[in-house]
Amino acid sequence: MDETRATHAGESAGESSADGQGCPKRRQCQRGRACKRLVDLECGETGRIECVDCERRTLESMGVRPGKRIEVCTKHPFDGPVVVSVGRSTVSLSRSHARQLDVVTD
Amino acid sequence: MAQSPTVLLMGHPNVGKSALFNRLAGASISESNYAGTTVEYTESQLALDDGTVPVVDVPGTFSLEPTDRAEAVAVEFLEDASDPIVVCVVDATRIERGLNLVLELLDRGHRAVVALNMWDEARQQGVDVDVEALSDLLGVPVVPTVATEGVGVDDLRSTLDRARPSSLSGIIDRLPPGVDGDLEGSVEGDDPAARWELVDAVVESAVTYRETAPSLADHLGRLTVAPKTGLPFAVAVLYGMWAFFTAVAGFFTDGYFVPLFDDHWLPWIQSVFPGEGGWLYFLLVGDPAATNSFEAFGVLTSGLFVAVGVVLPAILALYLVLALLEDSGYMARLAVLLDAAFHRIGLHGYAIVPMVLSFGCNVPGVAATRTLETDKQRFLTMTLLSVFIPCGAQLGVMLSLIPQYTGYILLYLLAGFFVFGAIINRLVPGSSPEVAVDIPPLRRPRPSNVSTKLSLRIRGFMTSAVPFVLAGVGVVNLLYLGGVVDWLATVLGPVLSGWFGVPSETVPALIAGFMRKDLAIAQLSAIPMTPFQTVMSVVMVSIYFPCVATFAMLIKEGRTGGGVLRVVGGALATLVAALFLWGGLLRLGGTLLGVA
Repeated sequence: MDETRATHAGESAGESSADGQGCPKRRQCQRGRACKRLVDLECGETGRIECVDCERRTLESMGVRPGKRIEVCTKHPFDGPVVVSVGRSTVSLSRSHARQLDVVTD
Repeated sequence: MAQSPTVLLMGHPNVGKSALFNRLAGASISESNYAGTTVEYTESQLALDDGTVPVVDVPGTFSLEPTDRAEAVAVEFLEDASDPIVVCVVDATRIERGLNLVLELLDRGHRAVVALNMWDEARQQGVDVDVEALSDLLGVPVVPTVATEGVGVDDLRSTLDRARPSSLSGIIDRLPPGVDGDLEGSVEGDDPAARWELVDAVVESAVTYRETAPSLADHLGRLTVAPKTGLPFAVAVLYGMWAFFTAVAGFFTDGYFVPLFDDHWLPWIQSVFPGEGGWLYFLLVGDPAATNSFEAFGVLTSGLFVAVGVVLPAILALYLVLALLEDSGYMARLAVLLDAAFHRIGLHGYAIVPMVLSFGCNVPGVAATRTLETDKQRFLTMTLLSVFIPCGAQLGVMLSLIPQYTGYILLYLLAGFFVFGAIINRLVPGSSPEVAVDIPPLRRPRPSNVSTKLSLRIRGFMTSAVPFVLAGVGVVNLLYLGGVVDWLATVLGPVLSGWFGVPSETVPALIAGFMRKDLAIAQLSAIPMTPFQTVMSVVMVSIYFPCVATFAMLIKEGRTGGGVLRVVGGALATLVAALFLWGGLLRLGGTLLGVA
């Protein structure tokens, strides 16, 4: 069980560093104060998306992109998905996606 | 006719392309409220004033860089068509992300028309689009539509000949002054950030958002996806579906068809059919002394009874609840609730879609695995569902024969699904990427769509399944006459009684299982067995070899899912292991409990 989880995490970590450059905007977001990873937001918290990991093109085409307002609807237990509402859509993101999204909270 | 340009319906998943296709072409393909309803293209003819043109419903894609098999089909289509007319179908309630794809398509130089679908919902949700301004800006015709109601479809048809290409730089030039000044440079090429900026600029000048209060469906939609409220609700929904299915199937089968076949049809055909004792009588009528239609086992007795009297009411009930599940938008919510559990077996929650469809019939279930991202996930899902998910026809016969055990058998098979899923996940190499899933709003299923879907599926059952049931009875009877059944019973007897504890008379059922699982289970009824042996043999038949239609589908899908040999070989290895281990475990449990 834990092994699988570790593989998932390992893959996603590898993905973002494999391209060598990472996300340029990502470094600007100094975590702390108002800027958090989406995964650290509580249910019902809202904010503005600061940066989406550059590899996540599909997320952007689903409308989850920098500058948009985001609200955490629910977080599922056991490392389950995080359901967010962005614009007029409701999207379910996996935990690893939620770790790669930086949000400036209100 | 000269080579007329193809009309391609393209857009994000679940924006109503199939609904629009049906209205445009007068076709009736499946429309549902979940992403990935259409996994294969469908072509039809669209009647215009000057003749007809081919029109294609393309699977939904979020961008032109495909992430799964169904999306790849969409992009291939676009690339292979020569100068197609692209109808970009956009969900007007989420116009921004729709426009992003529109710009991507325009950037590739395609002639396009934009259909702003779900126009009614957009108005209700406070999304006001200035259609004229948007059309002027984009440089292509824009038509508001409500595909499910047929609104705007005629307009769309008549604008097709005005489809034209448009350049992104042209759009930038047409932006009204003051709107987003920093869009100086060109957005040509593959720069998503710049394209999004252009989307924002277009939206700013053509769309206004009003604040609206969330509707009842919005609230309900949220509650059903939150774990605390959603899980009890899901249990209630699934149990309710099961209760409805069993009640309706039982009502028709036991109430009407059993008396009809047992009291009237069977005695009548036994007495009037000539040549009792001959091979033809054996083939078509079966046992002249049989008193119920399960046991007679002739093509015209058991064959007809199983197909029409037992399976038809069952799948009618099952397809009805499945249609409600598909159209309400609840399926995606189930996917989210079950996501964590599916992660343990290397899948994600959206694997629930092929799984749920498999309860109707394994064949569309296997096809629906195309929405999964990797070969590993497709292999896992295809194999597990063809081994462990009993189809509606099979469940119907089980309910008719052993109603008191059917629920438990189903739970035992589902447990097998997850146990073997976890094992295969460890053994099979490959990745299981994490996905983002779009959750559609909850919608009231439309009766007209539900009934179209039902009649489509029932027609499919009558034309493709019923002949197989009848032929299956015939084949088994021929093998009887040829002595093959007795020979196999002698050969397999030791394994059957030694490992599984069932009599060797179950061999004909195993043969019938190659053709149809429902038939195989019907055949078990004629064998004198203890209740445990019956349960045991039903579990065996369920796990054991997929029916021929599913097997053919595995071969077909294996080609695009990692190679036929790999997929079919892996599936066979799994089913042999599952049959002996999961079946053996059941017997062990039975022995320990003292019921075997």
